Amino acid sequence: MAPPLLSPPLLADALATPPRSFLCSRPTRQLPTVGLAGAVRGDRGRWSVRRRDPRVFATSTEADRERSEEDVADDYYSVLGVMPDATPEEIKKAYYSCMKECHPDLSGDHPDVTNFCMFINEVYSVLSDPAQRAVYDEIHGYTATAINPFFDDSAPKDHVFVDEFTCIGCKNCANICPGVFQIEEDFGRSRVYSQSGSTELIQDAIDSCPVDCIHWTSAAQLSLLENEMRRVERVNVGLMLAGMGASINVFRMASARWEKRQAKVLEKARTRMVKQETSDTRSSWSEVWASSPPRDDQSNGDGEASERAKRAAAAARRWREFSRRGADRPPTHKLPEAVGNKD
Amino acid sequence: MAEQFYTVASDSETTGEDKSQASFPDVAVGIDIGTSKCSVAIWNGHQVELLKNTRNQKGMRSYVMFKDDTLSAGVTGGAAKENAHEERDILSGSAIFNMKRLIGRMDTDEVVQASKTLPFLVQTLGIGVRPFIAALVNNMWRSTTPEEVLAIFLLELKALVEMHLKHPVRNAVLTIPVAFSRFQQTRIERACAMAGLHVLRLMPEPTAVALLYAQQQQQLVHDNMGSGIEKIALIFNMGAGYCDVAVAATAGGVSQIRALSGCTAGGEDILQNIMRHVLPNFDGIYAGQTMDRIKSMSLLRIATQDAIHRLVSQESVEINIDLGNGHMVSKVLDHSEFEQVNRAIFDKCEKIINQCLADAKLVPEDINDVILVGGCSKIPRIRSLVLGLCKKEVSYKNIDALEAAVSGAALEGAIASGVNDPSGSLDLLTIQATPMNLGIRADGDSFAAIIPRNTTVPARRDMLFTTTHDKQTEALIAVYEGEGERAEDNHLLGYFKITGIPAAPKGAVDISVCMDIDAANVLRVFAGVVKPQGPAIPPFIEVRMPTLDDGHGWCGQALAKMYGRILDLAVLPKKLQP
Repeated sequence: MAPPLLSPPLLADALATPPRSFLCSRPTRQLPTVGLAGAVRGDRGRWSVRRRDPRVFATSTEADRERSEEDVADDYYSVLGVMPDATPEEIKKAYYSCMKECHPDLSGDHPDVTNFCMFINEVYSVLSDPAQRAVYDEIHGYTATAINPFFDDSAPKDHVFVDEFTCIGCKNCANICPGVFQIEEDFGRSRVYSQSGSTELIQDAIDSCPVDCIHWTSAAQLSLLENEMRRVERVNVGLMLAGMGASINVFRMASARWEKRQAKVLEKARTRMVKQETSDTRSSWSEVWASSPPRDDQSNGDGEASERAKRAAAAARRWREFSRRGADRPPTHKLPEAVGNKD
Repeated sequence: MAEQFYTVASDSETTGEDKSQASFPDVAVGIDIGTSKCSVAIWNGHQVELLKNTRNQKGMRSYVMFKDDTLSAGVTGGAAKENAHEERDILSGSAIFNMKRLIGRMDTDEVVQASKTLPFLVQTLGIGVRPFIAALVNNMWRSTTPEEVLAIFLLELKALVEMHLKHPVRNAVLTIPVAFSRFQQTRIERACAMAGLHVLRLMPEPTAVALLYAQQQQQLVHDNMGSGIEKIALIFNMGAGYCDVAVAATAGGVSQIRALSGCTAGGEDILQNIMRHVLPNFDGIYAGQTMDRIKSMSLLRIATQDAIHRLVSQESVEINIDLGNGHMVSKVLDHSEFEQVNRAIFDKCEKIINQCLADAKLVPEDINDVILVGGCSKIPRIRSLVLGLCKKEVSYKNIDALEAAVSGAALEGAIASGVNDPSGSLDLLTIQATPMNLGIRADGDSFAAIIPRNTTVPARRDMLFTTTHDKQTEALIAVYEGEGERAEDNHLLGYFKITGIPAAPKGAVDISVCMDIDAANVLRVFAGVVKPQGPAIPPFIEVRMPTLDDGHGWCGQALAKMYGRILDLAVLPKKLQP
């Protein structure tokens, strides 16, 4: 009954081309990734009424399952449908376009719409604040001189993460430190529910874990790990142990993805130098070699940077929860089949 | 899809007279009830149309007459009455006006205190309850409430709209001052419910003006095929009762409210100041309502009002009145004297403009347009003050000062009703912001802001708290709204208890308080224990705010006295949250 969703290229075109009234002096580029809001909401004009039919939402979810990995929003920039080197003006325009797609005034007062709108507001509040954006860029590898958080020994490892691919669901940590660890009923394995816990109890849980699946991490590492877990489809621990046992090293995957992002930054920087575009100040990467937040914030010292990193980690966690509830697109990374294990 | 559009259009063409009804039967009307004037507008399928009453007026007086056991609101204003008589009747004690100033206020409020010299009866006890209000009917004071008066007024307004549209009207978007508390907003909603109207949205007045500005900018872009460059406008709105400021950024039909601020300063305050200036011992002479005093006061009020209006275009004005009982007023008022007498009001305006610019992190040079709306925006001192602060020579010209807010409300009504206009005139969106901090009482009498001022709506924020006593098993959540550092300085919205907290040493339990504001501006508070987890933990509590109906002042004090210490919570240091 609902018309089929636009294929990714058309959807990218629809999003890449601003609305008729949104004429840009800057030539429009084909965006390599599809903005999350555009993909989820689709073209408003395709429905005869503004109020969305919940069944359409379900259809959208099913159709999204067939998308390739590239369609999964990798970071806040792709949520808004912009490149990491976007200027503040471009980010604002993208934010306005996303709001037109998902604001309750235009899409109805459905709780999912409101929740998603709140999420977009949060993403925009991070990217529109230069200091907060600088911290985000550094954590996620969008700064040329940033250090991969997994190889940065200077950051304090004061956050805890459960490697769910190693966890066997023995409930040991949930018994030792119930305020921090919880067993997810859907999957039968442990997860961290709160970072506010007794350090001693957490250490006890780590020491007594039979498979060593609990790790201390820094706030930046936790952001990357949560982002990686958001992309992976998870199965019940019993099924995994029964034969779908190929494990994924989520630490290595997150680290590799970070390196990949920074490599793109370096490549772009090299291209720019070759073309002698040093006078171009439109891009926010005119300070591509910056390794710290803007100078005026540097005077606040490490405390401020640490607080921003923690807020970034908390936002990444909320995004993962948001994805998990289905309002986001479903993950496309699947655990390997049991038959693959025999090879 | 396109075919369906053509079908609708074709149908409209064949039955032109029924176009509005057939095409948009459920579109919400926009209503702007000002303290002294009101207006109503609706999207008629092509543009915003302001509706007129039987006297061909777009702006109608905001009052209800209770004379001779019959009620008549300012919508119709009676038949064939002279303006002078109408004004005298309004000030005879039989009419209730200034409803918007009085609604949702406690008798300790200075605005209510200032209203005691109005011709109708306003009595206060000074204990933080609703004031007693009455109108003179057949030589008797008959009690009423601002909500009832407003409901009667809205009922007539609704009848006017339905007569014009020829079908029932159900939904409305109303404009409110920025300074309106959530409690006052619930009073407005209740008055609308009594009149049979459902409030789709309550829009701060400058936000409505910003939406109209966004539409005009968008049409400008269409016409000129120009760049969709962003424009930033400062909107200053000053009516009879309130003064509001907003900074809005607009691009591509999206209007983003960057900052809001407001205060209770308006034309009524200016009028009161001038009356006291030209008649020393004003309060002494008019203490207590007697028939001759009411009549005398109305004479003074009419003359002073007229003088202020003439002062807009003249250098000085004369005020000559015989008030009876040997009281004479004979005075020449010029601009400098007018500004001297009202300096406190102008200082208030200046303060909220500066606060708004600071909240938006902008300097005056960043402002592209200054929009002045509201009746008091015609006052020369006001214009020079606002334009001076924004370093502009002229204000934005394309918006009518008296019709802007209601036009914006009608636009929002059409958008939120799901109207889709093929020409793109409704391709608009308002991204609203919260005007005040929202939080709870914690750490004794401190105010812990959970949703700060100017947060983009819809919004959800949470904060962690912990117990302050060993083995504390209950906690009081008292929700406040306002700008003060202490909870007592803010508006109490409601309260509830969290029970069943596991007995533990103080600080060992984490309690989460989450506040959620949706696009319809509904505030809900979720609170519960998040650490430790376990089957014995009670479920979260969800409360829609506000819950209090009366007695905010002494209710807050009683809560603090009875439970402030034993059920207190402390703010947890900020940590990463799930």
